[in-house]
Amino acid sequence: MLEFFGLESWSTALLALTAGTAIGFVVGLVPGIGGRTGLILCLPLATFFPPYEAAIFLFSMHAVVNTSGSIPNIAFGIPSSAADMATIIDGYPLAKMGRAGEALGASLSASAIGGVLGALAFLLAIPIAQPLVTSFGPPEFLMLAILGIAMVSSLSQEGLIPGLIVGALGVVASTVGVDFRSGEARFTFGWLELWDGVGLPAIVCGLFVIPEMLALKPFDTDSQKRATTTSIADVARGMLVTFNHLRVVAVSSWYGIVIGFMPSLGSSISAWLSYGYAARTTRTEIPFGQGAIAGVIAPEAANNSKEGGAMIPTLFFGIPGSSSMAIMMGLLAFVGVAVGPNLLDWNRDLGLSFSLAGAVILSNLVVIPMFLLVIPTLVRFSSIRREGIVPFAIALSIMAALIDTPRIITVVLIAIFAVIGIGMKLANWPRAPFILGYVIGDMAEASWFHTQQIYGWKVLQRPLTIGIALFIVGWLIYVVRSRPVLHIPGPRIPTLATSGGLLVGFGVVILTAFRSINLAGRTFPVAVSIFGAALCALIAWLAFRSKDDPPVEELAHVWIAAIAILAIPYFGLTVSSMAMAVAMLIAGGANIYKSILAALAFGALQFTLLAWLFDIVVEREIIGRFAWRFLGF
Amino acid sequence: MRVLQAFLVSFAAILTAAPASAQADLAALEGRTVRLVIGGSPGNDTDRYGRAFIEGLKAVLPGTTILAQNLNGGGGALALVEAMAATGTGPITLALTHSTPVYAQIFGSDLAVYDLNAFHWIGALTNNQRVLAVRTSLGVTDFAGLAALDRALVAPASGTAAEIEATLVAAMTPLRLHIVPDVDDGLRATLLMSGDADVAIGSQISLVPLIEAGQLVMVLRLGSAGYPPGLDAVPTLRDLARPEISREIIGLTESLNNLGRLVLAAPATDPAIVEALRLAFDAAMAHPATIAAYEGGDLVLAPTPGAAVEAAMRGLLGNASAREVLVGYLACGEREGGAADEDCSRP
Repeated sequence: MLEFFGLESWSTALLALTAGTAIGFVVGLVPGIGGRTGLILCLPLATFFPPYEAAIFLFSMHAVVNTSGSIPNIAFGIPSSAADMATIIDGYPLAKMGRAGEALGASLSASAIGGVLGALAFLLAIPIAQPLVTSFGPPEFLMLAILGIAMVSSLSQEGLIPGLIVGALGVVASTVGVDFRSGEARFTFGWLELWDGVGLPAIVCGLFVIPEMLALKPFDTDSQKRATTTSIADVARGMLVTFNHLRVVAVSSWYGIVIGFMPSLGSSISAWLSYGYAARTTRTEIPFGQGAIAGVIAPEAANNSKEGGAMIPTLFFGIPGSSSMAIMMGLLAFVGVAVGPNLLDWNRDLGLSFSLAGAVILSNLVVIPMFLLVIPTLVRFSSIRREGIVPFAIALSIMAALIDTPRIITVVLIAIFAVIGIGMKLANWPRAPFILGYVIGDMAEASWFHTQQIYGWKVLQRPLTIGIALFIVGWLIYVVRSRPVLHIPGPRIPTLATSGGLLVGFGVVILTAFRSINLAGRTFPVAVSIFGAALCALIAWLAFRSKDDPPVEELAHVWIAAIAILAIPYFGLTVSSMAMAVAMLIAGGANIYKSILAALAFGALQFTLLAWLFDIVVEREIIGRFAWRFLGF
Repeated sequence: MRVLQAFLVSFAAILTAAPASAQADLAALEGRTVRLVIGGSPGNDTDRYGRAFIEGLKAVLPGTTILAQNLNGGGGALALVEAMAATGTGPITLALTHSTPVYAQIFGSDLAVYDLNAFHWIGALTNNQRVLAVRTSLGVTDFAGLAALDRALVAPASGTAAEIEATLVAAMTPLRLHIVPDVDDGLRATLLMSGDADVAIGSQISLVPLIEAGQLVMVLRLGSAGYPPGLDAVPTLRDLARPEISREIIGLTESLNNLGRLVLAAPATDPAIVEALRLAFDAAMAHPATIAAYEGGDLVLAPTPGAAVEAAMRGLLGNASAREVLVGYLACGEREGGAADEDCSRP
C-alpha cells in the first residue's frame, strides 16, 4: 500500500500533513502573506521531508490558507485579495452585528465542504482529464467574462446604475499598465511602477478598508459589546447553518472547480461568480451586502474547491491552473516530484494523485479543530472599542499593500482610492462591482483579442460558447424586467460629487487614451469609459432632480487618517502608523500613556515584519534616515 | 545527465580559474553588501534562477551580505531602472533580467527606458534552450513537413521574447506563422492540446510535460549551444534559414538564444568591483551549493561568463547595421507571417 502511494512511512506522511495544515493556518491568518508567498516561505521546511511527503506538506499548507484567511476578513474586515472581498461584503457586517462566531463557523464548514468536493472532483477527473481541460478556450473565457460583468447587477442591491459605473471603473483600472498586445504603456503617467498595473491590495485598502473603518460605529450598548465575544457553540451553530444552504455550497463549489481547471483564469473570479449566484437565488432575512450568511458561504466554498480544480491541469499536464499552482509546480520540481501524465498512469505515479487528493481532503478536516481552538480568543479582539481597532486595521491593510508593491506609488494609490471609496460610501454606491470589473477586465480584453486572432467567425461553431451567450441574454432580460433601473440609492450631495468626480475621471481616461495610446491599445478602455461617463451623467441628472435626500453617513477621524497616509512617504509606515494610532486613540478618549504604549508595541511588530521579514527596503531606508541617525548609529 | 553537465561545468571552471588571484580580487567584496534586484515575481523562472545563484554567491562570499529583492514589472525593465539609479556608494547593486529587455532595446521599443550599454555584464545564469515544437495531432513530425503545409500556422507566443523569436523565425525560414501575442503558458498548452494552435516557441524545459505526454514534437532549435545531447538531431535555425538570410544575423539571433537570465552590475559600479563580481559569478556557478540548487529546482545549468556575455551584447547592441537588419526582418515577419514568397533579406 505504501509503495502504491509512493510514501516512505505513514507517520512521515501524517507529520507532513499536520505540519502543512498548521503552517497554512497561520499563513492565512496574517494579512498580506497569502498562498503564493506562503508557499515560497515554506519551501525550506518542505525539504526536510522525502519527495512525496514534501508534496503532501505543500498541498496541505496551500489547501487551508483560504480557510483561516476568512478570520481577519470576517472578524476585522481586513482583506488581502479580491476573493477575500467577496467574503467581507457580508461577513464583516455579521461580525459588527455580534455574529462573528456564526459567520466564521459558516465559513469554516463551507470551506471544508468546498475543499473536499474540489479534491473529489480532481480524482473523478482522472479518466476525463484531457477533454475537460481542452473544452474551454478564449471564446468561452470571453463569454464567462461577459457573464461575470452581467453579475454586476447581483452585487448592486443599492442600485443598478451605480453598480455599472463602479464596475466600469474597475474594468478601466484593469487596463492600467503595459499592454503586451499593443505594446503600449497605458495610463501609467510616467510611473514605471504602474507598468504591471494597479496592485489589488492598494485598491482594496483604499476603496474598502479605510472607508469602512472610518465609518465604524462605537458600541452603543453593553449588550452589543458583549455580543462580539463568541464561543465554540456560536461557531458550531454557524457550521450547521451551512447545511441549510447546501445548494449554494454545491453550486459555488462547482464554480470553483470549473474556474480552477481553466488555465489563465484568475481564481478570485470563482468567488465572485458564486457570490453573484447566491445573491441572485437565495432569499434571506438580511439583504445581501448587509450580513446575509449565504454571502459568506458561497465565496468560501468556491475559494477552497478551486484548489482541486486547479490541480487537474497542473498535476496531469504541467499546465498551471492558477498563479499559485505555477509556483507549486516549481516547488514540486525542487523537492523532486515530476508532474505530468505520469500521475494518470497506474503503473507510474497514479498513487501520488490519490495521496495529494487525500492530503487536501484531510487537511480541510484537520483544520477544523485548529480553527475552533483559536476562534474564541481571536474574535475577542473585535470587541475592543472602535478607536482601538481602526488605526491598527488601517495600518495592517496599508502594510499588506506595501508588502505587495513596496513603492511610494502604493501610498498614492491608496490615497486616491480612499477618496473614491469614501465618496461611494457616502453616496451609498456598491463598491464590490469594482473588484469584479477589475478582475474580469483584463480577462475580457485578452479573451476578445485571442478570439479574434485565432477563431474569427468560426467562434459561432462552438456550442459551449453559444450556450453561455444564450444564458447571458436570458439573464439580462430577467434583470431589466425584475427591478427598477433609474434609482438613486443615497443622499444628493455625495451622489452629485461622486458622479461628477468620476465623470471627470472617465474624461481624463478618454483624453489620455486619444493623446498617447494607439488604436489597438485604446479601443477597449475608451469604449468602457464612454459607457461609464454616460451613466455618470445620467445619475448626476437623476440626483439633481431627485426630491429624496436621506441623511449623510458620518465618518470619524478622516483628517487623522489622511494626514497619516500623506506622511508615509516622508516618515515611513511604521512612524506614521504609530502617530495615527496615538492620535486616534487619544481623540477617542483613551489614556495617553496606554495609547503610546500600544502604538509602540504595534510599531515594533510592524517594523519587524516590514523591514526584516519582507525586506521592504523603502521602509528600512526611511526609518534609517530618521531613527538610525538620530540614535547615532 | 544534468549532474554530468554540472560536473563538467564545475570542472572546467576549476581548471580555468586562478585561485590565488581570484581570492585576492574577491577580497574587494569582503564586508560589502550585494543587492540582487530580480526582475521577476517570487517563484517564477527568473526568480528561481536568481535564488539558486544567490546560494552559490553566499557560499563563495562568506564575508559579504547578499540581499535579494523582487521587482517585477515592465517585462524586466523595472529591475534595470532600479539598478541604473544605484550610486557607487552603498550596496553593490546587481540586476537579474531575461531576454525581453534586450529585444526591447534592439528594436527601439518605447518600453526600453534604460540603456543596457551602460551596464556591466557579470554573466548569464543559463541557456535559453529555445525550441519550436509542433503539435503531434497535426500529423507532421519535421520542419520540412511543417513548411510544406499550405497555410499559416497558429503560434501562440508566451511573452515578448517568444513573440519576437517567432516573428524572426517566420522571417528567416519558409514557415508561415500567425503569431498570437500575450498568451500565457497555461493557455498556450490548452490551445495546443485542443488543436486550436499549431506550434509553440519556448524553452525546451517548459515544453517537456507536453512533449512527454506525446502532445508535441520538437522540430527546430533556435540557439546553437547548450542543449541536452538528446536534441542533437533537431536542426538549428542556421540549418533551416533561407539561403539569402545573413549568416551574421543568424549568429546574433543564436547568441541571444544562447544567453538566458542575465546578471548585470549597475552602471555606477567601480571597475575593480565589476572584476570581482565576475570572478565571484564564475566561482558561484561552479560551487556545489549552486549546482545543488539548480539540480533541486530542475534548472538548466549552462552559465556564460561575463566577458563572453559582454562580447555577445556588444555585437547585438553596438552594431547599428545589424540592428537595422534585424528590425527589418521583424517588420517583414510581422507583415506576412513569413509568407512563402516573401524575401525578408531585401531591405
